[in-house]
Amino acid sequence: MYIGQQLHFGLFIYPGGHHIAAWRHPDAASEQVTELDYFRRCALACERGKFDSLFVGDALAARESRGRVVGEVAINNLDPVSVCAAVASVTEHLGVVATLSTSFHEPFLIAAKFATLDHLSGGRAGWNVVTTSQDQAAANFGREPHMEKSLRYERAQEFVDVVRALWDAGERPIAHRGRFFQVEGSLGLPRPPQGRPVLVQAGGSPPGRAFAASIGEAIFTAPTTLPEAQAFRADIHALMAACGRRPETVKILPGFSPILGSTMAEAQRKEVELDELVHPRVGTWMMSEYLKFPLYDLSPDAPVPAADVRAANPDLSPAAGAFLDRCVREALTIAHGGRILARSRTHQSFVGTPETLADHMQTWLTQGGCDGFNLLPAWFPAELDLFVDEAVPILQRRGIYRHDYAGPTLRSHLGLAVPEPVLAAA
Amino acid sequence: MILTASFPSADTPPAITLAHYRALITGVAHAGLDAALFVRSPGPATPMLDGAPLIAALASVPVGIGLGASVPLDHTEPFHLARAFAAIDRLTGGRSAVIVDLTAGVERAAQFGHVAPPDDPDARAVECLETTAKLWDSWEDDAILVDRPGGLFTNPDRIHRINHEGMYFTVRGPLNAPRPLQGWPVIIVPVASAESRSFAAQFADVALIAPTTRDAAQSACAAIREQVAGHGRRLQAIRILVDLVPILGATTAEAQRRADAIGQHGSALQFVGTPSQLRTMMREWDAVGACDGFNLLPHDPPVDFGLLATLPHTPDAAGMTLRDRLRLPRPVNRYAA
Ligand SMILES: Cc1cc2nc3c(=O)[nH]c(=O)nc-3n(C[C@H](O)[C@H](O)[C@H](O)COP(=O)(O)O)c2cc1C
Repeated sequence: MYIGQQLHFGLFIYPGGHHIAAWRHPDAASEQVTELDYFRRCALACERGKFDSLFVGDALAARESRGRVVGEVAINNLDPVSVCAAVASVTEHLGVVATLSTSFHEPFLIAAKFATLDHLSGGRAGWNVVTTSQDQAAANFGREPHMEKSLRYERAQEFVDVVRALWDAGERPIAHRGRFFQVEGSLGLPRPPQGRPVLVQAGGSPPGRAFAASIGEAIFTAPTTLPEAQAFRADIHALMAACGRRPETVKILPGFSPILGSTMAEAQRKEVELDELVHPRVGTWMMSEYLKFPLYDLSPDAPVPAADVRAANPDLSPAAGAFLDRCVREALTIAHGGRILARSRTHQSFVGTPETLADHMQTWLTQGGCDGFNLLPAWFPAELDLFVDEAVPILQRRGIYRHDYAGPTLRSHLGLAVPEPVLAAA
Repeated sequence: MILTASFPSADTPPAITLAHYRALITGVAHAGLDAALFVRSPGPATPMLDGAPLIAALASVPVGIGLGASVPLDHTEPFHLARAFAAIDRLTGGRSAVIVDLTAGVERAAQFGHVAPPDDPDARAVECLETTAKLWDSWEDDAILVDRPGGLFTNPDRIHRINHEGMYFTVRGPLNAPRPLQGWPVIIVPVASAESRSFAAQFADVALIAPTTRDAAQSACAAIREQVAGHGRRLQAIRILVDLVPILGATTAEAQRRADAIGQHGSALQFVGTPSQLRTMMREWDAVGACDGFNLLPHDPPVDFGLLATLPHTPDAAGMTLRDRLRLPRPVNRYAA
């Protein structure tokens, strides 16, 4: 098993915080979530903590419950490429990773967008390649119903092939004729400083994992236990070997949502305080969306109707299926399940002191559970600052985290080489 | 009088760095201009530097001027355009402008992956912008509440599906981003054909025209204004700027020497002289109503803007939206009760 020596961190930024009710906390910067200063403040904290990157997720439809926007939750992230460009302009080292969907874009403009971002940031751009699981997005592009899942990944693979060819070719033209795309021409731009912006992937289904193993250079995932994390990492490494890739060429980053206190009791108090801010309607809505089954007519205190959910959704995602199993195992009510989702949307949540956090992360690293973490602070910017100022120095003292950046590009932070261009014969 | 500066994408520097563009727009602000526009040059081979992330990256430069970027309107999806500029307008504090590019999809059909360009690119562009504007309006200005005790971040009664079903687009909405600070970004349309003139008359806050004489400017303005009125828009709702290549010198002789060395580039109107002679000329055009201002296409931005900066002008105002600066009306939200 390949074991990394050093942890890697990326920040998953989110309006208000990752706890669904965090925006209601008096310390959360909720009024500022659309302002440059909010992003600047979070980005500077990441740079102080020597993080690899700041990551911006994407959604292509408003969050609705039975045809009406859900008012009890914060707004979505602003457009990722725009936020990443702004963040790159106020930082020197931090990588910027923007999410864009291969299902609702076309390759030429996306290649241009990321080439632009990589040039302007001096080689700090990354692309989180997603296929969009939110079915409602299709209604905003005249493409209802959303493509069938295996087709989404076939399109994604060809999409990435075209984009990489355009980056590699630089100012020279390419000629691509495939099943989904026909592209003849060039970006007319020099090859990006990183050769290719870093590709990030977070597919969880079998075709999603295969795609991640074939193109991913950083992979987001959401295991909640060490054995689960080890199994996922081993599976990705095996799939990579089958594509001729070595395990050092990927960083596997489980999601991790910390709430820190100077004592365990203080941290627990903070978590309870946040949980009490969750509106009951939000819990039911999150459960209905996540399980793809309407629970609105049931009492929040009713048990999760697992059999009905399964019968209605034979192809529930693996992550949602595992969560449903947990609801049965722990005999959870809808309200209780809702609070778990509200806390970190099934990503691992952690409550403790900076010391116990460091112990935990060290164990996951040395036991082959991860190469680092994708951080989902419960609220911004206070929990991010706590992690950077209290936990990072401990990890540095233990020799498992860098004291400074080794180079100027996102690839250099991740220890990845600039890929050789693959050029079609002229 | 309104002054903007345009930087064509054909002039992309060999090393594309943020430092280059920061210096460029700082020079524009010091010269007392109102906005910097990054305009895609026509042609299938011009570099595809994307102006949208470029102006997002320039949002942090401490200047108050507007920032515009070309958008290939005959190719873009309304949802993507609306979402990107909702972000950019917020990040810039309401200083963004969309520069309408009506020809990219035709010229670059093969790159964009079309076997043939859309059969009626202008009709597609019109519907694209109309749909985009609906998406910007889908959040009313007071949709964001951040009511902590009440537990409502947004007011669902102020966020609307658009249910657009047209020839080219079917978009349910709403957008998943708040309305731009300016309501809509400033819409800028370069006028180069009958189609683009008609487009400008319907939608433009700012039209860019390229006459070569003052008389031609006067008649071009009159023609646009007549069409603007035909669409039921008020004449004050549009600003018409004349493209002008300034070749400046501290003395007339120095300016002339530069002009001789540069020669005539492209077909745009040139002005050769000192900064104060340029100002006099602009005032004369303004006095006869030949235009509302000028869009400067500098040959050597540091030199020309450095010279312009020596003229007395009011300092660059911060904290103002581009619409305020250009005294343009804020678009009324079609969904507001
Ligand atoms: C940390 C993390 C972040 C993600 N961010 C996004 C996102 O911003 N937008 C999106 O559409 N999907 C996002 N996803 C979802 C996945 O990329 C993927 O599209 C989804 O899991 C469906 O694919 P699958 O069926 O292969 O799991 C994220 C997943 C994880 C674990």
